[in-house]
Amino acid sequence: MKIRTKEDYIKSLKKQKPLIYYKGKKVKDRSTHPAFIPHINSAAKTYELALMPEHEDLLTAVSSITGKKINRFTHIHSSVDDLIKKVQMLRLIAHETASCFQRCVGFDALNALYMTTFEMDEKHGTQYFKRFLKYLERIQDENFMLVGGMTDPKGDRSKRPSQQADPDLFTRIVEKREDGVVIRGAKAHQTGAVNSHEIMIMPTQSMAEGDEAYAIVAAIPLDAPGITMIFGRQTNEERKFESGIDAGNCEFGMVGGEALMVFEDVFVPWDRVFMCGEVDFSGLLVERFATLHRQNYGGCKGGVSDVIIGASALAAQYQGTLGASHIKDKLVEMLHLAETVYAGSVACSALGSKTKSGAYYPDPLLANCTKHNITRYIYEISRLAHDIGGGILATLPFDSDLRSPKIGKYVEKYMKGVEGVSTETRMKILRLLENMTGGTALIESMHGAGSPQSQRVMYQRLGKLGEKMNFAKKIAQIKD
Amino acid sequence: MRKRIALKYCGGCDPGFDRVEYFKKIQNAAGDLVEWVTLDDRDFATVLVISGCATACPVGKMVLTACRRIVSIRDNKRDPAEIVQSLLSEGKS
Repeated sequence: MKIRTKEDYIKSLKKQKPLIYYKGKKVKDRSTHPAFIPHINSAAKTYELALMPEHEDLLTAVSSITGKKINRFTHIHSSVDDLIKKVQMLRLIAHETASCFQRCVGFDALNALYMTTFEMDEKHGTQYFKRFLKYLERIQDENFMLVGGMTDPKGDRSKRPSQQADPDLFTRIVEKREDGVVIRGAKAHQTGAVNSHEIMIMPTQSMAEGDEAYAIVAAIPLDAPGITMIFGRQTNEERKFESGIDAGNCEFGMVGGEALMVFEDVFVPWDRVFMCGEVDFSGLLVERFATLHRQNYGGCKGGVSDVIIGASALAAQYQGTLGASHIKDKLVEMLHLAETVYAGSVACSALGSKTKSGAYYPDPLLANCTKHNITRYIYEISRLAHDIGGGILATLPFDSDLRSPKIGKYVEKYMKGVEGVSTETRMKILRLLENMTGGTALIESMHGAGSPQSQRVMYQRLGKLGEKMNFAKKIAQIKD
Repeated sequence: MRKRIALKYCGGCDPGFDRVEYFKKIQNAAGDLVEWVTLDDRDFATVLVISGCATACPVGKMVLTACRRIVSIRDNKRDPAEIVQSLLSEGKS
């Protein structure tokens, strides 16, 4: 692994100079920009924890390709145990960051491609798998962070890619050359984009005949000419610039630091192309990537919920309500919801299966069920956190008010809770709760890894309704 | 002569206690009697596995050979000195 430490990671970010805009201005150095530092710190945890003996069992793996010890975020799942360890690892890291650490998206892209390129070659006689293995070996060796580039802007959702008024609303091949392809389009809300090394673009949905130009998978370094990243605005993000307590979690991000990535005629050589027009495999790739990504959410959001639950309990303790029976009951409900989502992630992993390529794949129905629960339970956990925290979550004075020589004494006096806990300590925990349970953090739970409806479509497909009808007929002794 | 003992932690997904802090207590109790090594090293007869919960993920996956025994810790309730005694004894764990 060439990138081992946080320092190595930051150095690697400095070395590559992608074109990034923040608030309409070009970013000079992404590794020192105050808006990106929290996200860099979060992603850096995936490197730092891998070096710690007490965490290496989850953060590292032995490469099935080279036999070398690698970072798990570049590993291909070789067993059910690997699938479970992935979920355990995500919960662990979330305890450290209390936010998204971004690296699972690229991880899932690598695994989805490993199994899908193998089967594409088997059917079409192409050479994608061999090409992909070579690429993967380099990613494992360098320990690069990869953006999983799936979501296209999609324009008019009622129309197919080739029917759009503007053909660039789905990322596409505009030219095929002897030495590679030229790509145009965009990928929306790309997690960890500004602090990654490469992006793996994939089709955003199942493609049909006529959409061949849109069935493209390619790995592209972020500093490739023609790529522009536009960083997305998040709730309260500029509070982190103040270095005070108002950010709640000033060291790490709120979500993944998402960006809009624009591809303006970006050239990609053939050795980095892993699908080019095979529309019959686009749907399978999307489904696999989505399943692998939905598998994660009980791990990472379970871990983030653990922090929210802890903060809620502390907020109650600091205001003297922790012993109240209704508070205890609300905390129990939060624990129940967090463990339920975690159980879903573990279950879909435990029932994972081996694909033709040898790589392991989670149970798709259970993985979708897990993510679907996330779209509800994180909101409920946050609602209960607000209930326990009280209205003060919404009306707390500024950090600078507490520090003010003139009015600080009032904040100190009237924001105080129980004896033995300082006002500042109480404010810190209330701010953490406020920032973890509102705005962008909630929307990410709803739409990250696919909107709820995309999971319900999977229920319709995989839910075996016919079998369930037969069970009922048998019990009711209906013969037809 | 100091006994070589390999230390192995579980990954720590959701531990019920601070495994590193607990190991430090065991290390202090062991003093000079133990030379701590890792599984990558050689010439050790005993492995101390510290897991954060009852599942003890690493234990089931470790190969127990005739020359190697595993002392598995799943909580922080035992007296560290007692664990050291167990590590230094030659019997089964």
